[in-house]
Amino acid sequence: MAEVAESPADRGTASPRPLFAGLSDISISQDIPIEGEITIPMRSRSREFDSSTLNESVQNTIMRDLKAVGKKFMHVLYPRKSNTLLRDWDLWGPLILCVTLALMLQRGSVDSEKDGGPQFAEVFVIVWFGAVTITLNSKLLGGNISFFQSLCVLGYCILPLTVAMLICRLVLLAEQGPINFMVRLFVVVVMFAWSIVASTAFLADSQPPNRKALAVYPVFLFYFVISWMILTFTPQ
Amino acid sequence: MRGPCSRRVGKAAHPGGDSRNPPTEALVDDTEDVSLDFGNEEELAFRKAKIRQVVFGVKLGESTGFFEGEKTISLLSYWWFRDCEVSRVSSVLLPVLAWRAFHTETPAVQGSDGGSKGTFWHPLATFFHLFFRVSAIVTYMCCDWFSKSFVGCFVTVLLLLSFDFWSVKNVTGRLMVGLRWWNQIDEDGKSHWIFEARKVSPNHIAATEAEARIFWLGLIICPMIWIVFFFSTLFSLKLKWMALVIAGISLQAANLYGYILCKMGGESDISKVTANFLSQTVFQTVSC
Repeated sequence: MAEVAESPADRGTASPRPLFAGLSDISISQDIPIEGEITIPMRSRSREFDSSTLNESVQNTIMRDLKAVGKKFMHVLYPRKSNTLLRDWDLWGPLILCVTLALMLQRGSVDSEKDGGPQFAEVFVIVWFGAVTITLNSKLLGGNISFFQSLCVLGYCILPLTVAMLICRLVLLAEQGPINFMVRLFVVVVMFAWSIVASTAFLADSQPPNRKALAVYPVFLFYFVISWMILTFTPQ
Repeated sequence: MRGPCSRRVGKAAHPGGDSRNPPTEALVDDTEDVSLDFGNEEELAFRKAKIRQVVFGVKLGESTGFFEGEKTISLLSYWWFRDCEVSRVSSVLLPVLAWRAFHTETPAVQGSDGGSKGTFWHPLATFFHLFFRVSAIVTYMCCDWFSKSFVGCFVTVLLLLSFDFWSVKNVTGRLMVGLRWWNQIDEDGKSHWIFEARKVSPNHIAATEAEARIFWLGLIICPMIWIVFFFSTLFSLKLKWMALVIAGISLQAANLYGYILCKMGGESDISKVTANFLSQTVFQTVSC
C-alpha cells in the first residue's frame, strides 16, 4: 500500500510519524456505504434478454432468418442508406447468389462428365476470395466495419449481376449477332452500375472521407471482373 | 433500442467494520449477472455423474431456499453474459460453495418442435444434429458412385454443410446442451461475440447427459474427418475438391470453437480450464 511504503521512508528522514498519519484528516469517522450503479454496455438487441428466443420453436427460428434474408434482398434492390443490412448480417444470401451464379456460368451440361467443373470452382473462388480481399483492404484502411458485415454487403450486392446473368442466358437463346451483344452489354452495364451504387451506399460510410475512393475502387474491380465473366460467357 | 441497462450492485460496508455496522456480505441483485471464480473447486468432491456445468453464485447469509442438505452434489449453470461488466465485478465478490446442494426452480424448457413444456428429450434435434454432418461426409465420399458430375456433388455437399452449420448453431446447441453463441453489432459498428450457457436443474441432468454426449461427439469427430479429407485431397492432388474441403473444415470448426467458448464460461484462459478439468478427474479417481 502506498501509505505503508511511504512512511518507512519518511521515518528515517523527518520526525517519526505514525502510519497512516494523514488518513484521519480525511474524516472517515463512520462507515462509508459503497453503493452505486454500474452501467452495462448498451445492448441494442433484445435477443439475449428475451427468453422467448431461447425457447422458441424451430419454425420460428427458420422464419425469422428467412425474413431477414428476404429483407436484405429488398434492400439491395432499392438501395437506401440504412443500417439494417449492416447490423444484422448473415451469409446465406451470398451463398445462394454465388452458387446460382456459378451454376449459370458453367459451360457444358450439369450432369455429364465434361461439365464445367473448373469454371464452377473458379467463380466460387473469385467471388469469395475477392470479397475477403476487399474486406481486408477496407479494414487496413481503417474502416470501422467488421469482417462479416463487409462480406455480407458485398455478397448481397451480387444480386443485380445474377439477374443480369439470367437475362443474358435468356438472350443467348436467340440468334447470335451484334444486336445480341449490344443488348447483353447494355444489361450488364446497367446491373454493374446498380451493384456499385448499392454496395457503396453501405460501405463508403464506414470509411473516413479522404479514403472513400481508396476503399471503393477494389469493389469496382471486383464487380467489373464478375461482369466481364458474365459478358464473355457463351454456351457451347 | 434499449437504454443503458443499470444494475444496483448493493452495499458493502467499510472493510474494517465497527460496532455500529457489522460488515455485511456483498449482495448481488441478479444472479443472472453472476459468474464465479473457479478457485476452490479442486478441493471439493464431485460425483462424476452429477457434474454438469458451472457453479452458481448465490446470496450468502440468507435463507433463500438455495441450500438443502442433500448428499449428492448437483451443480447448476446459469445465464451469464461474457462481456458484461457486472459479471466481472461480482465474480470477485462471491466465493464458491459447491458442496452444498443447490436447488432452484427451473424455467420450463420447451421441447423441440412443439413438444410439451417440460420435456427435456429432443429426439428430432438429435437426429438432425447428426444427419446433416454425416450425410455431408457420406456424400463427399460416395459421390462418384451416384453421379459423375463434379458440380452436383459440390453443390449438394455445400448445401448440406451450410444447413448443418445453421442447425447446429441455432437449434441443436440451444435444445440439446443449452448453449448459444452469436455475433452482435452495436451502434458504433463494433462487433461483439456473445456466448451463453443455460442453467439446468438437477432433475433432468441424467436425461440430457446422453444428448450432451451425442452432441459433443458429433461436434468433435466430424471436423477431424474433414481434416483427414483435407490431407487426402492434398496428397492425391485432386485439388478441385480443395475449396469444398476447406469450406467444410471452416464451418464445422467454427461451430466447435463457438461451443467450446460457451462451455468454458468466463474463463478465457484455456490452461486454467484444462487444469481444473484435470484436477477434478484426478480427485475423482482418488476418491472413488
